[in-house]
Amino acid sequence: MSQETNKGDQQVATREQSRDVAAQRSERPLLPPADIYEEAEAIRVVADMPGVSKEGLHIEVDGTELTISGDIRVDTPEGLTASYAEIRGSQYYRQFILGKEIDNEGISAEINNGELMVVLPKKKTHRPRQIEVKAA
Amino acid sequence: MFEDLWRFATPQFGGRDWLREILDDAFQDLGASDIRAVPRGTFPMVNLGATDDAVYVYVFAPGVDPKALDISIQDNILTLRGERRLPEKGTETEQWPVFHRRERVGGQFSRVLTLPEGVDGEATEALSRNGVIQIKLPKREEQRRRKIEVKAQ
Repeated sequence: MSQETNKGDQQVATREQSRDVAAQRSERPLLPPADIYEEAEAIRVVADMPGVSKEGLHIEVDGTELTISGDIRVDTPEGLTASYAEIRGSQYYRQFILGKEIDNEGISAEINNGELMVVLPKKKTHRPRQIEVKAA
Repeated sequence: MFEDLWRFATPQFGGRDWLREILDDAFQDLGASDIRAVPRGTFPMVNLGATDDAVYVYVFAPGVDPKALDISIQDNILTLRGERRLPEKGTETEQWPVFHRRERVGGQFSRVLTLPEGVDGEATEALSRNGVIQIKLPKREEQRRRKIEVKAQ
């Protein structure tokens, strides 16, 4: 058991190291294109993040700040030499500021076929109500 | 692997005419370009690479049903055709949603790539994972790297 934990720690360490190396090469994360639309009970964010698996996806909410990041992992054969690249980088990263009406606890996300969908539900008190007009 | 592309891709300054590269970048329409070249950002984006015995094409097609992607090859011209559907009507109602931001592109697309000569179209394989489609095109026998043995006399 303890061995396994050690192994896990090592993996984390190497991953951090590789990130540091990437940072030294002044690699900028890619900005994933996103659509944002409003529904009565939620705001939806849809972003294109091809190459990101469920495990490589990180969604964080800190106060009113939503951070989306994902590691781009593409299995390539050994000895591959790249000759042309339009996607250059190993990470997507994007931040949005949320309004106070968002219920942080209820935020959910899923990634499917490289397409990320984040649902930001609104607090019950902020959902639209139909106002009935009474006859006098 | 793509962090490595920083190394493989054209070096930004090292040992080259950096001023010209910056200007080329700023005025991309100047000068002659390949007849099949497309501006950067064309959907779907692609990366190309090769090993000793195959050429690999990586197609970044998020949200595209791999079954609906039509891949065809004639000689060394690879054509990708497909359609990406973006959500149109709201999920709950039949109304159009209110968009705050629309950066993604949708609709039908087709893209043509010129590959190195000598790939075997018959033996091409395609594999889809997390919105990235890997197309493997084996090189023909005569295009593969061979080791030449030096014979002793």
